[in-house]
Amino acid sequence: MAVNFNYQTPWGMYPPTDATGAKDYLNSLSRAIPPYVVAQNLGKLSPLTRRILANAEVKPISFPFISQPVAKKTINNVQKVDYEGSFNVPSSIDTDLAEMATLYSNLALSTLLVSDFEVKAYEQGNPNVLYDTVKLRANETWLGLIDQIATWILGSRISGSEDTTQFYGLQDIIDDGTHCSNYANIDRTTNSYWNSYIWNATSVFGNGLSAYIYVMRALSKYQKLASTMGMPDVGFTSPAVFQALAESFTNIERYIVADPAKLEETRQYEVTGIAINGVPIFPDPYITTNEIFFINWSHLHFKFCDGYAVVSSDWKDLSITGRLAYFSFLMLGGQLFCDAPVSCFRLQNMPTATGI
Amino acid sequence: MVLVQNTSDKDFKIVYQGIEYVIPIGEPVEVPEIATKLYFAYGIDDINPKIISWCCERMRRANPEFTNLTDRDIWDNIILKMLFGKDIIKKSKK
Repeated sequence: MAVNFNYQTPWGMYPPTDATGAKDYLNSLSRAIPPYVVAQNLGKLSPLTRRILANAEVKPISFPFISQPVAKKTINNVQKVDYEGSFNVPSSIDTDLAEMATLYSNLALSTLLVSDFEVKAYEQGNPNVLYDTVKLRANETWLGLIDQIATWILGSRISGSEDTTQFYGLQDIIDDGTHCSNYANIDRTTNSYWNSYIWNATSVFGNGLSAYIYVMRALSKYQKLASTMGMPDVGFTSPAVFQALAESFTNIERYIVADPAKLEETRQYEVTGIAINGVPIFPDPYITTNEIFFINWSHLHFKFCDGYAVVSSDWKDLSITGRLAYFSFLMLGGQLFCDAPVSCFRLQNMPTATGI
Repeated sequence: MVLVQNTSDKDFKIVYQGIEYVIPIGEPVEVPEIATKLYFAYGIDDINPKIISWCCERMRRANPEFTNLTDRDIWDNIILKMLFGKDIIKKSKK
């Protein structure tokens, strides 16, 4: 009885295909990968990136722009009406459309190259080794792309000069103009509503306070100054600041280290936060500065470009370039966007736990 | 770059894109034009209270010793005491 390996008899140059049993080369990448899968594929656990990408919208975008109305200011057209019922009819519109934020969407691409020898070796009966190697490389290329995206959107695209081909980062968005003076083509020097507050914990609130007190004071100050968009939903900080924050509670309440009944290996991504004044704060390893980013989810979004959210190409034959190999590429296009930077703020120079 | 001169009674600094520019009393120094807009509202035609408030906020952030100064203190006694470009030359000729 013939053994059916479900393979055709390949000969000559052929890319990995379904017919040759090699479809899983790209299955680990998949085509048109939905955003939640993107968010699950982070090499280093980043709850903030995961939250941003998992809640991203895929929008049809008029190349190459993302245009978005700006939450500029409170419009107070309230009038008092007496029993005659008269009121003043407005003669001009309230919103200046010229001040609508406009961003370029950006695109990131990563390549994966597989030699023809690897493909042949797999086909010729050593699937357990070479199949896994290629699949692993495909997976790691994917992880590398998402790792880079996480670094970008939690960092800055300005370093000496501005790299406009890179995604905007949180440090560009939650800023008072001294780092990113022109965010999304709106000038922060003349448009005061386009700034975020950044406070230095010790110089604004005093030295030697417990870490959680700095957070409480910052939230109160924010509520007093700038809470027209509501209070921030969440805070994210570096592991060292988070640990100092956790330790600042230890003298006033019992701290439960672990529940032995749950010490089993489970595949989950839960991250425990500390709620202060109703705002949960989480650690994120991609944040390397001693600060807390307070974020209002109603105003911070990642927009994937339709068609680039996220795709991998077919295998391309490289023999025309003089190489017995194939390559595929992954693309991710979009932009991180905030329509009201004042809805978020940063608290810098927070106490840190040493050794982390 | 814009030439600025500090005629107030306080030395201070401004920070733009991670670079610190020290603005000593009396001595003209060059700083990026965007930084002068951010901190001193230089070149902005219709200055409103919000813009003033943000200039003062940035000054406080760059100079922690100004934390307890009010917006009025910072605006009247420091920012309005700045001279820019041609004004410095005129003043020198006088």
